[in-house]
Amino acid sequence: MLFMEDGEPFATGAVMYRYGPAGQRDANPRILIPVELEGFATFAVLDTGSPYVMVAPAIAQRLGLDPANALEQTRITHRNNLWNGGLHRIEVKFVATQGMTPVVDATAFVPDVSEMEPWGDMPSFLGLTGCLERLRFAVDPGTDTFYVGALNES
Amino acid sequence: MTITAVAWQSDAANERLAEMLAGFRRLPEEANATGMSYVVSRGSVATLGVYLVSWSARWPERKEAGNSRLEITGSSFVSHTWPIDTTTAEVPTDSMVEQLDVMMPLEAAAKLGDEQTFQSTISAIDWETQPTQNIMKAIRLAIAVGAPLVARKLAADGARHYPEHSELQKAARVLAPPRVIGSVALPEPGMPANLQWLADHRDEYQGQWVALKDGQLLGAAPLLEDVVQIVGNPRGKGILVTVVY
Repeated sequence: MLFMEDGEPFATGAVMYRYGPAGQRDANPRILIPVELEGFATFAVLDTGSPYVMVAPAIAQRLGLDPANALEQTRITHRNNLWNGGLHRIEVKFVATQGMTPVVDATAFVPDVSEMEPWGDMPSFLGLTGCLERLRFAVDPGTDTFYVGALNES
Repeated sequence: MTITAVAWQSDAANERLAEMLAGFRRLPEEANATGMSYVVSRGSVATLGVYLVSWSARWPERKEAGNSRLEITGSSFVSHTWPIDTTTAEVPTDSMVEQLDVMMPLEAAAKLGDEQTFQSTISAIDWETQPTQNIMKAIRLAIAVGAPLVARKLAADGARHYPEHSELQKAARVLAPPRVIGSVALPEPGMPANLQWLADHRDEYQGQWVALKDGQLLGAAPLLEDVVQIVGNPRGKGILVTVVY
């Protein structure tokens, strides 16, 4: 794992990531890391330019989220499109194959079912605000390894 | 692209309209396609300067009132401007003017995706004096315009100020900073094998949803729901489900 100069751990878990496009219409490679969204194991794009976790509508349908706990009727711009949906709190596990897997209670945008077609085959996205902002993370492109650990808030 | 502008009563307000429009960085295609309108007002009723700005289709009956050309950030707009009698029924009441003063510039900035104007307008408002519906609206606008930290602060402050308001409490809870609630050692020996399977079979299953466990294919189909039909609910079972790109 990774440590800071004073011996404090920077990252406590690591996993290999996929490096490729986020969908067949995507021309650019992305970092896709294995996660569990409410126990649903899949890949999600590491996207520091995005707010919140953006859950792919097809997956969101399988999560059984309760609309009563959501901030409904919200609209959000993501990847140059305006999406309709609701904001929820969900549990995100950053699956580590070495070391510890951090579990984060994060804010997630869940697009309406009507957005499934325009969303297409894009995966979910892990944004900075509402998710990654309480984690330390690093990427080693030499080995396609994603390092992650909880931010020490003391 | 045509904008119809309706202005009345004060020169100061006319100047404000020009200033406001000049501050817009761009007008999105979406707004042009669907039409938009907004209202900016200043001052009391006595010095009322309220503008309705709409795509011309919304106000076809007003076109005869006169027109001129507006140059806004390099684009040319046709404008129609005329005074409106403040004694007509179209004049907002005091309370309407008060609400329009606060929310309409915010809505206009959000519709145009103008985050900078949105942030400065938010900062200029005393939110402790605002009704809950305005705070909730501002939260949603902040989310839409891409200002999640603004939305979070509005929700947290609003929830503190209105502890009995359930929607604000919910907004504060949903938008609160993320929390690391645990750290667990997962037995995930299958992940490297899953990654290898994806690398080996990328061309074969391109564009399909697949379910994998320990490097073994459990099911594949064009739609996720079909994969779930094959493997059952994958949640909590260590089954990786993804589209193959």
